[in-house]
Amino acid sequence: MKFTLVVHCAPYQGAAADTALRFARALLAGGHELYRVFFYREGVHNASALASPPRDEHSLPLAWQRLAQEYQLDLVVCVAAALRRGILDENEAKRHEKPAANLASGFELSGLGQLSEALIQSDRVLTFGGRG
Amino acid sequence: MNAPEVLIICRRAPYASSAARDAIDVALSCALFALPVTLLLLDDAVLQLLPDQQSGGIGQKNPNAMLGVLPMYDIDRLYTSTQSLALHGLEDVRLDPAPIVLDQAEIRALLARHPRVIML
Repeated sequence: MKFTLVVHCAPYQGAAADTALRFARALLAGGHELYRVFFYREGVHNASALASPPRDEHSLPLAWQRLAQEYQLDLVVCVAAALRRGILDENEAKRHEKPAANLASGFELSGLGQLSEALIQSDRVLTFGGRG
Repeated sequence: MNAPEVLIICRRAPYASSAARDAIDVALSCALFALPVTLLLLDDAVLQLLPDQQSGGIGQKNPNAMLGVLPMYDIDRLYTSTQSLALHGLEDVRLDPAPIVLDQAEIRALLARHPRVIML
């Protein structure tokens, strides 16, 4: 079955950010397809290249990057939500005249259209960390 | 391919977070892709429908106006639940825009026929 996951929760904000990652691992291990992970609202913080937890602690951005590499995942971060919360790639940093970019590699900024398109392509779309 | 129906569920009060506005953004984006959208406002989200909100004072957009334009984008299924209305002591006919009210069995049926759910 083809899944899309929508992540609304930031690391440390709630359990949903970790649950989304574990759900992604489980569905891939079960032989399902993960069409896209769409990071929206506070979920954009999962894509920060600057998150620096202690070395003996698990890092969600790093865990998503590794999973994406292993399975060639499409990790899309809503650009409007990201800009509001200070998650910028090189292009946006330049466009908004900001001193730095911090979108982790493996993630891509794009519009809500990527969510709508995923809604068409996927058999199941699940939200993690709604109610925020 | 037939355009699949999308259910957007919002449960948050209008100014508690960006949820109310973000739900509308998702609905409009789906409408651009010609996806049939149903919007279900539950719990505190029913407060988004209180009439005559003067939200300019806190620098926020008025949810009545934002929800009111949705029918122009063919999003005309706006639902709430009897429980949500009872929770806040509201009457559906006094709300703006006025929602369609569903009971628990109807909500269960609505969820059962939507494999694609965005909740916020």
